[in-house]
Amino acid sequence: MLILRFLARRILLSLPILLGITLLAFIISHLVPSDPIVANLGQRAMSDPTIVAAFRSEWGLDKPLPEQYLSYVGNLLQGNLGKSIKSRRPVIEDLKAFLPATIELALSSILLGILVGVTFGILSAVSRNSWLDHLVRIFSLIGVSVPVFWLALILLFVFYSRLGIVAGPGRLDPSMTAPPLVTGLITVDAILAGQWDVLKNALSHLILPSLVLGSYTTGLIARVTRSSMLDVLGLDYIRAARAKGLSQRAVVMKHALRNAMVPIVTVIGFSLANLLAGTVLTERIFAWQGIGSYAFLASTSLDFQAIMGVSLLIALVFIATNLVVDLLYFALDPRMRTS
Amino acid sequence: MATFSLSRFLRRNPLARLGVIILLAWIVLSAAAPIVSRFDPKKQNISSRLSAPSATWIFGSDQLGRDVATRVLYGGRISLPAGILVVVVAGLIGTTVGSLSGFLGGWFDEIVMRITEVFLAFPTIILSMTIAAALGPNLINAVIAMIVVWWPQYARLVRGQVLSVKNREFVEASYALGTPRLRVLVRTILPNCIAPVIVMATSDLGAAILVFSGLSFLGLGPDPSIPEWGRMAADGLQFFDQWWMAAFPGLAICTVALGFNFVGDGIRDALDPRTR
Repeated sequence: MLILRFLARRILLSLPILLGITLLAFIISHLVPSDPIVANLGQRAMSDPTIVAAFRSEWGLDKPLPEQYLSYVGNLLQGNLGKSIKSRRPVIEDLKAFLPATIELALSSILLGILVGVTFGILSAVSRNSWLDHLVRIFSLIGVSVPVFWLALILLFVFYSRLGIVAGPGRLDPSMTAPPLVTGLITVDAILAGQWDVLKNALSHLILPSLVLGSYTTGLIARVTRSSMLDVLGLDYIRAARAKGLSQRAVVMKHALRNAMVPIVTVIGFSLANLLAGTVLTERIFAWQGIGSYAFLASTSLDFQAIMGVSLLIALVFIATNLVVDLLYFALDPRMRTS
Repeated sequence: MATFSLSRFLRRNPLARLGVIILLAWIVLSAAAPIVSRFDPKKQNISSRLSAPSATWIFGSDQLGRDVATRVLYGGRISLPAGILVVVVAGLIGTTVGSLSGFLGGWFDEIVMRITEVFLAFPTIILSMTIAAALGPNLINAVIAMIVVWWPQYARLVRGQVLSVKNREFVEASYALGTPRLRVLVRTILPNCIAPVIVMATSDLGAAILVFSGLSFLGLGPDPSIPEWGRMAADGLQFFDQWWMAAFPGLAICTVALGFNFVGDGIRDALDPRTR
């Protein structure tokens, strides 16, 4: 019951934030001197007043701003995200088409971040001040200092262009046909259809963008894991566990890690939401048709219905991951359940 | 917080020392760029376009025959001030808004905090891309876009600090002496809130430079004639086999960000002994 009440409260509290996001996106995309007409109509069409007038009335741009915003919110309450000026399709359809590619990329990046980051964070904390610890610290600092586009260019140059051991931009080779659409995640769909050569090709396309997108996250997770483990390893009950003769492995993996999990889970949740938003550069370079590419097109053409749609989607994911993280606290820390 | 001694801090933190050296080197080299290099960063020389690195062109030349090494040096004159400007202005705005919010409380605090929540929930890259696109892509607008995105986290941090300090005894003592309210905030409360802001700002400098070059890479920064690292890397993407066009500007961003992160990490270690 406690959890249900907690959930209800959190969901209610997030509603005004979501509304605020639409308002902020609306205000910014209508800032002077910008004009969606300039961004979307060609030079020739611009000089023809009838075309401009038709464009304005088609997209409701001839109405006063408050009215435009209210009609957007009215539609939103009915689950209608409006239509994209750029793609001329309902925004919700666009999001459905672009989201799976990003989910696939973000999940494989976070998986990489968790595997590498947590492992090295633990190793680093256990052998504090050893050469391994220093190496992990330096690598995690490099991980948060490398511009993603640069890392992408270097990896593409070395592993795709020169060595030719992985596939280049895009999600599949042009010669491949995508598996029947079930989840939209090509790897999963390929497994479901039993098309192993497609799976192999999709994985080969996935590896570089996941490395690039995951580099920052991996560094972050390693750093948080290290400092959280250091906190816990210094506590008395760990000394007691060692004193009763438990192996190093049992002390670290069973006793320490579990209590060090709360900050680690927090940073993983936070990173997952950030990956969705941070995927713009990676997707642009790897010609990945996902939410990041869509957000870039929407922003640069001031396609405000699309901007609001994609921002709302990411904010929703953000709020949802925060909720999941809070629920995990309940599972990880029994004290939370009683208080 | 113990008194902060710069020389002791640098002696005890080899990484921070390395960071300071890297940053000083960049500041000196980019400031002295016209002396260090005999090339003009904007002068085109089509006959020697896309030359590989050699004794004349140590980092090679780009698609218009401009010297990449020279442009990388001049690039420091754009990226470093831009990153610092973003963090300083966003830090000042955030500190002002956050401290007033925590100090005054009431409806003002409510409104300000709801606004910051919206900003913090808005995906930052989309927000800054949209602002830069709406204002028109150029250097100043990219900086403005980043400031708009960056201030709320400082506002929230400072507000929390002010709330934890404002009812302490030494603040009440200050009121008892008859000091005007605003003066208490500025002279008594704020000095006790500033340490975490400095920690956050130093670590943010590296991130600010990365984001700025990212916006520029996407074409939302300074115009192409200006030597800017992100933009140069984007140009290099079109000339994939001329790897030097993107590699060196990227390396420049990387070293500067690393320098800031080394220093930021050292400062955090010094102020927060738990992570040592």
